[in-house]
Amino acid sequence: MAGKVLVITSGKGGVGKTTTTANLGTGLAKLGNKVALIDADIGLRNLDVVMGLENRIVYDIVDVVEGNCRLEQALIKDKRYNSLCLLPAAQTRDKTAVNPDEMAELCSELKEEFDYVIVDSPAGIEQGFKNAIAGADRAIIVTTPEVSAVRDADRIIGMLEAEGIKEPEVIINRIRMDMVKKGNMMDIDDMIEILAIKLLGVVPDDEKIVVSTNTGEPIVLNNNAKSGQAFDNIVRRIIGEEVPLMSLDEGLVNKFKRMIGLA
Amino acid sequence: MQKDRILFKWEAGHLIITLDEDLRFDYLVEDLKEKVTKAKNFFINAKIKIEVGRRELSFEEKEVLIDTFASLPGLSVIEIIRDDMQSNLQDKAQNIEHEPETSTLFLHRTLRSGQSVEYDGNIVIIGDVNPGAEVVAKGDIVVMGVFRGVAHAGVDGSNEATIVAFRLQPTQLRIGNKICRAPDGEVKHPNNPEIASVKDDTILIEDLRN
Repeated sequence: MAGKVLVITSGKGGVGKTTTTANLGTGLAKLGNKVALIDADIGLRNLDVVMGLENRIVYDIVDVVEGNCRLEQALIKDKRYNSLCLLPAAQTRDKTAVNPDEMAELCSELKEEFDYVIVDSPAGIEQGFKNAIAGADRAIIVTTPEVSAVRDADRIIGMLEAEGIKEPEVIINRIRMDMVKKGNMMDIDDMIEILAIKLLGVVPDDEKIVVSTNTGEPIVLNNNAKSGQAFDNIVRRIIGEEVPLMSLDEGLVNKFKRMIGLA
Repeated sequence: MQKDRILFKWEAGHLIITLDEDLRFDYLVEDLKEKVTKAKNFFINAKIKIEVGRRELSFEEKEVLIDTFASLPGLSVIEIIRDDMQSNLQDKAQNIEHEPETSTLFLHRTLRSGQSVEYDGNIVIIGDVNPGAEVVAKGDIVVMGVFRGVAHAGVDGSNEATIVAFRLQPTQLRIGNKICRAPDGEVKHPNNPEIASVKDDTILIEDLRN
């Protein structure tokens, strides 16, 4: 049974593509799926760092494509889950080291083996992006509640449609409900109205994510973090469960804790 | 649009009845009889002209038409007018020479950021136009949705062109050689269709009526 190839993309940089990839991959593996992550950001690789796997890299995606090693040799096993693998990007090369055909070939090879293949796309709309989407069956767009990020997401949706990737879904990352309530941040409805695609989930802005990416421990493994729960919900929606959007309103207790500096 | 089969109007002391030229004659007569009997008093002392367009009536058909009105009181004159085929065609031919018919591009989709449409005529978009998208037309632009992008109507310099949208919230509008942009800061957009056109050398946005 062949798996699915998901591409995580955004157009704009810094909206949380890599963090999302790491968390969705880890979350899917936690539920018992076989997952391969591909870092398509050749020359600016990060996914290995966020996953805490940097020191295990021997071969990378360019080595595989150029035939310097076999695909299995380049796949790095995750520390936590045996069913989770990472194909790292090359750091010393650039996006032209791989072409879309090679990427599509790689994806179809991996999906024979894995339930989910998740491709972390680089920012931008040039060759790196085109490589990343080449083998994708499904696209997940990450955006933040900023006009510029939504604009870029819209552009990406148009490009995905042109490439025949139908019905992309969107994750809204780093939302702050307190700011939305005051009218200082775009709200979810505004964004969905413009993008006109399915909302896969909303991830609240969370300091814990900064810590988690720095230490290489995906936040989805932390049950106490709201952002972790949000990613967990998104994972469940990806595998087809119906999970309602969680309430992102701050509880009274938390609000109080924050006011007196406890949280 | 459904055309009225039978039109009544007063003009220079005459009641002019225009009959649809394409409908089958017996249907037409049936309709006419119904209308005439309903509004009997309306016809008192009326001078009636019947316009039949390009339809060619046989003698019998003319009789039938006249009979329809014969039962009415105080009817004075009945005239049947037929458009002259020949001159009509000539008129049309001249019209074509003066005003070449512009074609229209129908687009059944939403334009997203970075996408652009350019057409040598009018453009009708059934969908939204998002910020960062561009619509350029030689003629008019109609958006059956929310317009948030950049539009240029009358791109060859015609200030007659218009831009219409169900919700007009543009980044920038250009008509002919005129250009205008949304005001800086938060803008409250009205919740109804609007039309942009050039009036007194500037682009004016008004409610779309009719």
